[in-house]
Amino acid sequence: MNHMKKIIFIISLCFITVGAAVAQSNTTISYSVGFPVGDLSDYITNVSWRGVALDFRKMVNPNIGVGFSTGWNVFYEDMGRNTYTIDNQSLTGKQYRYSNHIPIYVNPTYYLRPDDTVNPFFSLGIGTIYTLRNTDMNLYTWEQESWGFALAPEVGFNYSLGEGTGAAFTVSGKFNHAFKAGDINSAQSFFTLNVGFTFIK
Amino acid sequence: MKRLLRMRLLLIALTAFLLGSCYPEGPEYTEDLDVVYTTYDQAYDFKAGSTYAMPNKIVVDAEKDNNGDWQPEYMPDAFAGPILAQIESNMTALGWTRLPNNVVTDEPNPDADIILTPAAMKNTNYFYSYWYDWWYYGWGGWYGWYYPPYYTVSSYTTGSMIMVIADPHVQTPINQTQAAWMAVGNGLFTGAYDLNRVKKAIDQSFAQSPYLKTN
Repeated sequence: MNHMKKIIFIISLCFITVGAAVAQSNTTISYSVGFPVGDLSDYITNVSWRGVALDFRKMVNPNIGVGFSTGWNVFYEDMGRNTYTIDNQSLTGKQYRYSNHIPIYVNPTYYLRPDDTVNPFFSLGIGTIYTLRNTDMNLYTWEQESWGFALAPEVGFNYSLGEGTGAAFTVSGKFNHAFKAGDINSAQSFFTLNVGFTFIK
Repeated sequence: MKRLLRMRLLLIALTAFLLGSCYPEGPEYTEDLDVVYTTYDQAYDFKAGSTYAMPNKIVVDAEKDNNGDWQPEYMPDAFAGPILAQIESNMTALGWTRLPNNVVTDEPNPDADIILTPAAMKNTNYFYSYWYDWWYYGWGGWYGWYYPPYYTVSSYTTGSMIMVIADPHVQTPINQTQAAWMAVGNGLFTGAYDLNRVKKAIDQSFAQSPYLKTN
């Protein structure tokens, strides 16, 4: 799929979202814990305790919602003092690695039991993840960026805090996968466990 | 409804605060920034030699005198002494013997297989490319060395320590030889001289250069 097609696809999904505007919508704010997978875990093995996720969904009908999701996950590792050798050159020093991820998805979602206290859902995020990778040594940083086409399947549930409160407790697991793009030579993926609140309007 | 909005704002503010305050911290101390870089000429046979010469002083800067000539400025002996001793003990451990300089002229012993010149960059990178020319030019009748290929001189920062090994016996049309070995310790001389950091960097420079070992 080329870039233009991707963009048109995303934009048209946004239009569908707006066109389908009905009374109800929900907004979820979550604390997001990130677990690196694949190439990202080769770069940073640490679990990321720094993250937030924001999901907005407009309900098309009680079972189907669509809107957008975004967030921010920061992975970090202090590599300690090490020697890195390439051919006839060696560099010793402390290395610090940072990987920032900002996903932007359109998020068609299906709710299984909209009338129950526990309402499971599954969703497929389609969009992009902005990745900013910094490898720091001394006062220098090696910066790599990518805007990879991304897919993010998600499963979770809303636990209603009571009829009329308009609030629910939300837990979900999301697999964020950005395809290879930009300066980074591999796909970047991570799993997030999100715990938050949903406000239903 | 109002309560909900307030709660939502509070949550957003709280999240923003938490994210801002817990961004990974990175280096905490100046030492965390210390890096040591070494490179060498893969074609040079270090095992062929066993003796070296080294100046008794370490240059840190150059100033123009009244005649407009560049005069080197030296590091105080209280610092230079331990630094040179540290270099010497590392070279000894690798099997090298230091030949004494000429007592009168302080020039290197002509029998030395290689010459090791240390420098500490106190000043701007104006001098980085040329420091050997300013400070040791014609030392022992030898016109010095040039940088190894692929080395970007501009990556020095102020306060760096540099050690260069070159072979004055290699015949080249320009009377200069490519540096056989070069080590750079970044940022060691910023602020106060901290001898421990410098000694560690010297040890590390040699530790990551096992090919310097001679018989």
